[in-house]
Amino acid sequence: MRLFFAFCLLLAALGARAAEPLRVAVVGNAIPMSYVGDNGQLTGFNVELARALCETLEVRCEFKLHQLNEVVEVVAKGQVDFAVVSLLVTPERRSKVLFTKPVYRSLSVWLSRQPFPAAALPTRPVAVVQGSVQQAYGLARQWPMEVLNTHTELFDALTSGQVQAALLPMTTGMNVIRDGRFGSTGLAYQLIGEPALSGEVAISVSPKLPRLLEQLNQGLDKLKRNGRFDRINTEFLPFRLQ
Amino acid sequence: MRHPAPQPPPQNTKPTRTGLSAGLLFSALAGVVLALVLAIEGWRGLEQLRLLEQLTVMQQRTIPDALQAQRLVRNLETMRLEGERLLALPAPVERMPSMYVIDVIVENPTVQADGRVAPVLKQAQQVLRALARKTPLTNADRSQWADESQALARLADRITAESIERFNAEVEQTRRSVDRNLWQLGVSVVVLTVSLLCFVLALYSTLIRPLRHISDALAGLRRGQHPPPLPPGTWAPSEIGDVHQAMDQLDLLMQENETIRKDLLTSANTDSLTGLFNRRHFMEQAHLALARAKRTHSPVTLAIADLDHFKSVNDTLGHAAGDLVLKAVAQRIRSTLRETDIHCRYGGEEFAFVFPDTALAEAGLLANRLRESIAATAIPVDGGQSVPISLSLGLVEVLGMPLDVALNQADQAMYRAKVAGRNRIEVALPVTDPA
Repeated sequence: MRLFFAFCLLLAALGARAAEPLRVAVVGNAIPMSYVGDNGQLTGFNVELARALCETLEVRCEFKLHQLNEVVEVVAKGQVDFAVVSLLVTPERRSKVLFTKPVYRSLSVWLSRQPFPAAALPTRPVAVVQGSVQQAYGLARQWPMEVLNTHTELFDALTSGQVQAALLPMTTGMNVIRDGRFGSTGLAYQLIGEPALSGEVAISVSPKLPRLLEQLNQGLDKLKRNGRFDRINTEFLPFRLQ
Repeated sequence: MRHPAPQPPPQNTKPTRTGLSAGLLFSALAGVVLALVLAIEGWRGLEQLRLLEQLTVMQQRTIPDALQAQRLVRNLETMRLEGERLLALPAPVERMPSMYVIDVIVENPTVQADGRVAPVLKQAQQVLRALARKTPLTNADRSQWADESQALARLADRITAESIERFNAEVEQTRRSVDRNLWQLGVSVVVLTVSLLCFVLALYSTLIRPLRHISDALAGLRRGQHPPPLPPGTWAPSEIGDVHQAMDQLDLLMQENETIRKDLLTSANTDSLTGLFNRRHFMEQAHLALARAKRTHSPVTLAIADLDHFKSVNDTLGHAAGDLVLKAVAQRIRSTLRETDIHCRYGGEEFAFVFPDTALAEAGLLANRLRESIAATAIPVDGGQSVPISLSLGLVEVLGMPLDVALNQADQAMYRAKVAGRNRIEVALPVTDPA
């Protein structure tokens, strides 16, 4: 009889757990990957990918907006279950969170009148986003940097001449270049494929949820097989990510 | 009235035997069938595994590859579109977003990894990069891009065609595998059907048919027939052979029992000295004969006979000589009378007769023939002597009277014959049945 009650309690606990929505971290200002649309709703490649994954896994999901620099920590501490943010997989991040299979491969883009300073120090600040691999790259090389909180601040910094250059992920960089104001800045772009600034982008998962990691991997495979990944790709990017 | 001598059972043809038991035989057959089933199902299983492997390859490699090819084609088309857009814009700064998309596409790892695509895209990228900086664009510039754009379109077609071709090849391979599996299924059904038929045939020929034969033979045994042999060349397991042996032994035993029964019957009904019926059996037979005559209203005559002066033969020549005389008289009775006549040793030197379907006159002729036959020749006994012997007979036509009455009347008539001088026949006066 005791066993029966224990079993019932377990079932009830599991049911309660199953009913809770998964908490998904996204960033809100990285067009076209993750942003608030004109209708006030969160959208973007990452957001729609997260929605598709939740549907595939048949779970309810609740989006939590975070700054890029917070994402790894909130995932690592289990404050969210997973984050669909374009995080490059780095050894440092991998030591804190779990990563799914790669979603796509990313590059960085150097926006400046000068060529990318492979060895020398930039003479004036370089704009980077707080918490990005680009910031980590600049820090490692003791670059003078203007650390911004969001991608949207970048354009203002660039156009105002506050910074000499910007180092961004290729997807958000594209958005800056496509902006009508970009032409007047006189900046040029340069795609950077250095290992520290390029690589695989993946979904980060709480280290407490290895089972969820497995489910997300299966979900990603399914989305890439059934064409939904490509439909989301078409919706937000002019080129194929895969 | 002779009993048939017991017949020896015919030589039974034993079934062909190998000493192999039915259990062993059918275990071996079942083993062969099982081995066949396992072999065929294993064969089919391997093909199904191959099919499963092909489907897995299709799902995990071919379909993703086809999707990847589709993505490459989309990138090629995007590159053409962005190239057209780039050339349509007048200022180099306006061309930058399109050039950026083109550069990102060229840097895509999937593009870089594809040996067919990478050089063509690189070439187109270089052309566009040069044209993007140039203003104004000449017709020659546009023509140069048109060539590159055409190359991109052809490459897109090639990738699509190759992807479809590969998919078709996989589908064809899968279809052939399914065909093989269907064919194997057919073979499997045929082999299993044939195996089952062979099994049933073996069961029928080695067990069911011999068992049916045994059943018929046992039914025959009940009717007194010898068990027939199995048809020549019939193969039967050792158990069937054992049953046949047992049946032969049973048949022999039944034959011996029948002989003993008949011997016992003969002993019970026969006088041991003369071989004639004894008085008890005669009485049974006489009753039956009289009843039958009464039922059919046919005539029947009864007689009692007594050897004349037989006591003096015993007294002067001894009982052995007397026995010889009785045996000789019995022999003459058997040889003189008809098969249908019933006769017996009624007492010491007394004999009784029933002549069925015979009226008094005819019976008188028969009795007289017997009397003459006995009186005609002396009977040789030990010591070279011959004993002349005669018979006195009393006859009575029954005419529906009870047996004891008829016997009594015949006896009285026989005494009258004795009194009248012996070696003669006297007829009792007819007496009707008071009933």
